[in-house]
Amino acid sequence: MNEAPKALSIHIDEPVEGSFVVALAGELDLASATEVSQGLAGLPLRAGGTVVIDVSGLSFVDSSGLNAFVAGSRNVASREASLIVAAASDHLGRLFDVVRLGDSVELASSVEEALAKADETISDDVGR
Amino acid sequence: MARDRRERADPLFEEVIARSARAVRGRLLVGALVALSLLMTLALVFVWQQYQDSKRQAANELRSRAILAATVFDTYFTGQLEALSAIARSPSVRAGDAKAMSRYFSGFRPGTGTTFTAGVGWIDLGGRQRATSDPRGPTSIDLSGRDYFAHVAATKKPFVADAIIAQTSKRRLIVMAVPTFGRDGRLTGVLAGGVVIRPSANDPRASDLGFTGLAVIDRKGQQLTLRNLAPAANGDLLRRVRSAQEGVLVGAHGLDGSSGRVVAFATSRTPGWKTVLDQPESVVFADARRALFLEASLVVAAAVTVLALIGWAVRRSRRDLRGAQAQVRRWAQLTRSLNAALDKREVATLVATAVANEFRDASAIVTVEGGNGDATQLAALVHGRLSPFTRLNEETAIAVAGQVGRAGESGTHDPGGLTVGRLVAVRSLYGFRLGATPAHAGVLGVVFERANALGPDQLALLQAHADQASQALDRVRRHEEEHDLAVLLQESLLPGKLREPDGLEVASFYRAGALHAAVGGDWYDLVRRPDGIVHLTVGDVAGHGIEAAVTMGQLRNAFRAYALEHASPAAVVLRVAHHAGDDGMATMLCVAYDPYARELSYASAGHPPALLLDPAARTIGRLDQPISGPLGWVVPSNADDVHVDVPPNATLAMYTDGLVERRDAPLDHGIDRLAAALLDRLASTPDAAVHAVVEEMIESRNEDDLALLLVRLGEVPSSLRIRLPARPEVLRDLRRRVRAWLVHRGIDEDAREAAILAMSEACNNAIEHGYRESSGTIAVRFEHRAGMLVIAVEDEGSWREPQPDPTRGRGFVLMRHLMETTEIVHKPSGTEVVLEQRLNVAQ
Repeated sequence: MNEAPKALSIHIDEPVEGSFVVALAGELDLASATEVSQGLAGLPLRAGGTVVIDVSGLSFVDSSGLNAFVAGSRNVASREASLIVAAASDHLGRLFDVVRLGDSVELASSVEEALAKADETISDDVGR
Repeated sequence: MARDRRERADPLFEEVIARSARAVRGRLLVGALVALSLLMTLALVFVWQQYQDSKRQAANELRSRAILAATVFDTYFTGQLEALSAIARSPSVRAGDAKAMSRYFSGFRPGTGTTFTAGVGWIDLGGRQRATSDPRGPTSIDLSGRDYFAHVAATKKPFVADAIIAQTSKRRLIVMAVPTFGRDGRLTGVLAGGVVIRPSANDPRASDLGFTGLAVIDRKGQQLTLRNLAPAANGDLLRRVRSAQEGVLVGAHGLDGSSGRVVAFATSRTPGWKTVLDQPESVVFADARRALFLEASLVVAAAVTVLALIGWAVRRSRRDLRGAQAQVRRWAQLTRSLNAALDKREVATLVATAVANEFRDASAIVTVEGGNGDATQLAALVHGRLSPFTRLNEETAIAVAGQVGRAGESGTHDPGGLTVGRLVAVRSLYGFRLGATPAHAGVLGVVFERANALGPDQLALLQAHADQASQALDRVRRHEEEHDLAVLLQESLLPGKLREPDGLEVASFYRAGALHAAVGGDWYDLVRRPDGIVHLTVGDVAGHGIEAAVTMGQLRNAFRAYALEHASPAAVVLRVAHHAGDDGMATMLCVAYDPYARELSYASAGHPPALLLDPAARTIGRLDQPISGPLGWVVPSNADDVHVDVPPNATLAMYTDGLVERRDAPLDHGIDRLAAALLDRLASTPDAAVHAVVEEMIESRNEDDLALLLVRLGEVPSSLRIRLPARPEVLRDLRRRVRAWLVHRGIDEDAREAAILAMSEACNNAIEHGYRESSGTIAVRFEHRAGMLVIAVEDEGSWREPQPDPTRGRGFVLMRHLMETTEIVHKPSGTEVVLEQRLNVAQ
């Protein structure tokens, strides 16, 4: 009955050209998961770019949300970019472990770590 | 309304009667008084004239007496002078023989006879006394200067002198004188004789003859009746008396100057003296005054008698008027009472009592319902006293009804062998049919112990009573029928005992208005939505009767429909408002309560505020922020619910204004009284409290209908049942509500979040797999008991085994990880996922 704030808010930042930080806040469930999938699909990615999904603001994530991450990762990979899910709470981390999300999606403990990881990847490419 | 008009008209009618009667009486009274005073005046004028005549007569009588007295004197002195003349003709006197005369005169010695008691003497022309009856011989005094001598000598005629007082004896003397002639016919001298006046003039013998107050006045004005011959003190009177021959003076001053006298006088010719009768008016007019007093008394007595008669007539007419006014008043009172009567027994009793008041010698008055044979007594009076429902009277009543029924018409009937109480034989029987329709025919019967008890006027009065009773009975009957119908309608429109949803204890009270106010338009209701939210409502349609009941039914049905459709109370109220119409004013309160989250919100359209009791703090909150005025006025197109925190074990009281409204106090005062009454009953169950509160709040004969709904908002229930449309958007609010329920159930955060996620996964599956794109519902059930938490999510769709799709398997992985057991039950109606989790100790 009480009117809650919008279920999910999505904030997109581009700290380095071609790399995006997508900050999610609120509840990620069956109703809002498609917003994430569509949002990721709409990013103007370049080959070698990186998408970091900041999940620290999420209060609830269910399997639809996890599926959205997996689907998003595949979508990003198909565009020769990489996706990293970062800054999961302990609770969310345990959830990721249960469904072994790490098998399908790259994880990082914080946004900074994720961005550093992305740099490494780029360096690898340069070093190759 | 009609009743009011008549109440105003009756005193007016009464006033008109009184005014016209007063006017007639006034005119008659004025006429009678004018006639009486005219007659009185005439009679008094007549009496007065009589009196004046009598007075005149009395005065004349007195004058006659005065004349009589004067004549007596005249005669006396004439006689005396004759006697003296006879002596003067005697030879001795004629001869001028002094010695012979002296001898002759000695016979007239004073004190020896009755004539010339003062003596006789002869005086010669020289004025010398030559002969005398005095034994001492003639006096030597020169008498030529005496007036009698001078007068007689000059005129040669007899003369009576005025009175003198004797020098020596001090006696009053009157001297008379005649001339004496010699043989040659020449004047020789004067013969004088004297008489002595007796000491008192007021001889008692004179009084007896009506000669009181007699006075004799001589030519000099001396009053002979006085000892000193003094002239009368009243000079004026003296002058008048001396100037006229005779007369009578009324209201004059007397001789001695005293007032109020009647004075009559006359002249004695011979001495030329005046005889006066001087008497007080009181004596002279005594008879006239007595007659006047008698006649005036008679006239006044007659007038008083006539006045008494007029007074009696006026009093009599006043009494008649008062009687007529009292009858009009009684009639008006009867009409009013009959209009207010609620049932046929009351009507019958009122009419019977009224008839008993008008006909005090009636032996019995009975009113019965029904006709010949199957009559039922409604009211009976025996000898003016109400004696309801005794067997004896019932027999009389039925007998009367039988007699009248056989005759088949109203009016005078043959009493036959009818008796009252088997002792009193009835000689007159009057019966009148009551009620317009034959099906409801009744009889008014009046019996008397004497034959031909009533005249035509009284019979008409009785008929009027019967007509009045007939109308009242028909009205009561119509009213009862309408009321019964309306009550039936309302009862069919209101819920009976409300079904209590989990987490709520509900008690309701409804009372239609008092009988004559007909039923009202109050309603209350409760709808438990499939999503577990409970909509509660109370409302009030203005007005009474069937129309209000019908509107109430429409609004309540609208509420039930919209309550299922909308969780928001404001949404429900705004939509119900469309059904209220423009004219029918109604107020409405809708409260939504979530028994799992213990959340309350409301919307009110001009309804009195519901009360929310906090039993721990002993405080009462008012739900007093309406979204609009009454329905049917301007209602906004949209509005927000008002949210209210619900204290633990709170009680919600919803009511209509019939509960709190009093004519003599503001509504707010009534609401405060209700709050106090509720606080007094914190410990009671709603069922017990609702009746006690109503009893405390309501006056004995409240005319308005009223509804009261008491709802105890207790602990959250141990089980949760929510059915929702199978759509992703509903899940977030579902999680919020379930989370609040789990918090109220005291379940710790880890178990709580695990349960919520597991439920979400089950719901996801139901939505995605159960229905695909089609619409349907999902039913979520939680049971928390004995340290176990059981979650069941059921759909109505056809379940498909999960595909080995890597993106789809995570839900079940999560469920199985989060809960101890996960079971999928296939039913004919759909599929149910049942999840179980043992909780830590003390949960």
